[in-house]
Amino acid sequence: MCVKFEIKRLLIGKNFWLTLLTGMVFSIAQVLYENISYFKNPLLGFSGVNTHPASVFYRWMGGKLNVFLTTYLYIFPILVVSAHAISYYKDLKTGYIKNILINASRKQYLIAKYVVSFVSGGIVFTVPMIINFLINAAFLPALRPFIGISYMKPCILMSSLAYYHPIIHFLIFMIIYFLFGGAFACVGLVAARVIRNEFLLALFPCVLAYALSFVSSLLLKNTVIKSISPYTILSIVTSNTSWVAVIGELLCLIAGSFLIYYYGGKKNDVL
Amino acid sequence: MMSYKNRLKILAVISVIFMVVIIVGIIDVNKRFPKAEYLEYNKETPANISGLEIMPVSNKIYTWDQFKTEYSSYDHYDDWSKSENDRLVVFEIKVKNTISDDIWFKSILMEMFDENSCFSNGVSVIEPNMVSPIIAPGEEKTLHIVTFISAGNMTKRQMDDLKEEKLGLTLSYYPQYKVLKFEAAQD
Repeated sequence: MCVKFEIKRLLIGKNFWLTLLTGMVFSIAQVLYENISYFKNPLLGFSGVNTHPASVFYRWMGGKLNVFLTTYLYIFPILVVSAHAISYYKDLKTGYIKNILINASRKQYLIAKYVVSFVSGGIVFTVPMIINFLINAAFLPALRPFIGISYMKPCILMSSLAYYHPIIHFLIFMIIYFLFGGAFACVGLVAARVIRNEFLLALFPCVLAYALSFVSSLLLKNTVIKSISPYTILSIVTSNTSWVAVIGELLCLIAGSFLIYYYGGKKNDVL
Repeated sequence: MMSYKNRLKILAVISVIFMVVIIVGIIDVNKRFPKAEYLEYNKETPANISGLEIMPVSNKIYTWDQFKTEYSSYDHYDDWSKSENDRLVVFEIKVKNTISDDIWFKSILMEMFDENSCFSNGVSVIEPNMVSPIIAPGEEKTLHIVTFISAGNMTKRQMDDLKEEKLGLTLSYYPQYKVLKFEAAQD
């Protein structure tokens, strides 16, 4: 019941659509700026020898490192937390939570808020990437990356899969994107209890992502973990990291944020 | 103000139209550009590129020391910073000019690849004379070409898994994906 209510709030509110639209701006801008000429002629620059036609797998937003992807990765923590998680802070600040808790239990409210924040964060982060891939796929051939072109270094996460099964590689990365989007959105829920400023709250997951990158480059570069920087993990073609880092970081963020948020929220007396 | 249900309806209609356009586009573009035809060449079936017959003979993986011992006059790598885990691969190929004009063998048009790790790199001629030779009509030549595999680009496991039979050369990518397959050199 409470989940339905939160979903309705999400869809009626402006935040979710605005953050989704912001992501779409990057997604569409990449298509217009980098690929329009290839849409008209996928054989652009193809001489027949040692070259290949443009393929959706090289040319979509995640198919190579580009300014749109890197900027998108730097702002994604702000987008995912602004989509819905920030409404928890507003509920607390305005006292709206009291109205909700008249009709629902605290447990129901907290879980519904967590689930909807997680899913909205995942959607806001993943949908622009999927839309970008689909638009590119409608105009560029789905030619499997040829072994023999320098598309991805072998040490990159799942690089062989990207060559042999690029669609599966794409889908796995979209799942990773969804989980990271959700996880960083939920970090915002935790911060909402401590930070009493909407602007700072929206920036908090961004600061966390920077902190993880800083620690990673300082301590983990030459270890088996390789990198816990979200920017590195999510950069796809330059994702020089390990499964230990990806799964470990997701588990820590999701489980950690849930435990702190849930037990903190249960203890907090708002009525 | 538009109601919540109407918003969802509009979203659903837009999504359906978008998906139809995308599906039509995907089918159309992939009909016009189908996947490359895979052609594999070996000792028994050599490739013929514009009159130049190219027969893959063998290949061998070297460490820096082994390579320097075998090809002491090749100084291209002398100034490079080296890691003991780096590897070099030397491919032996036989080329034959089957047309009446001279053909310039351009190693720059080939790329080495490893099937296991999907690593790839350019190649250059070591023998004869470290230059891409011109092959006269009817002439047959044995060439040794080399490529470098940096340990920094691979995981330790991928370096350990390097095997001669998985290392080949690509001649073209599209519309035909032409590759030369080799056998390991006998010591």
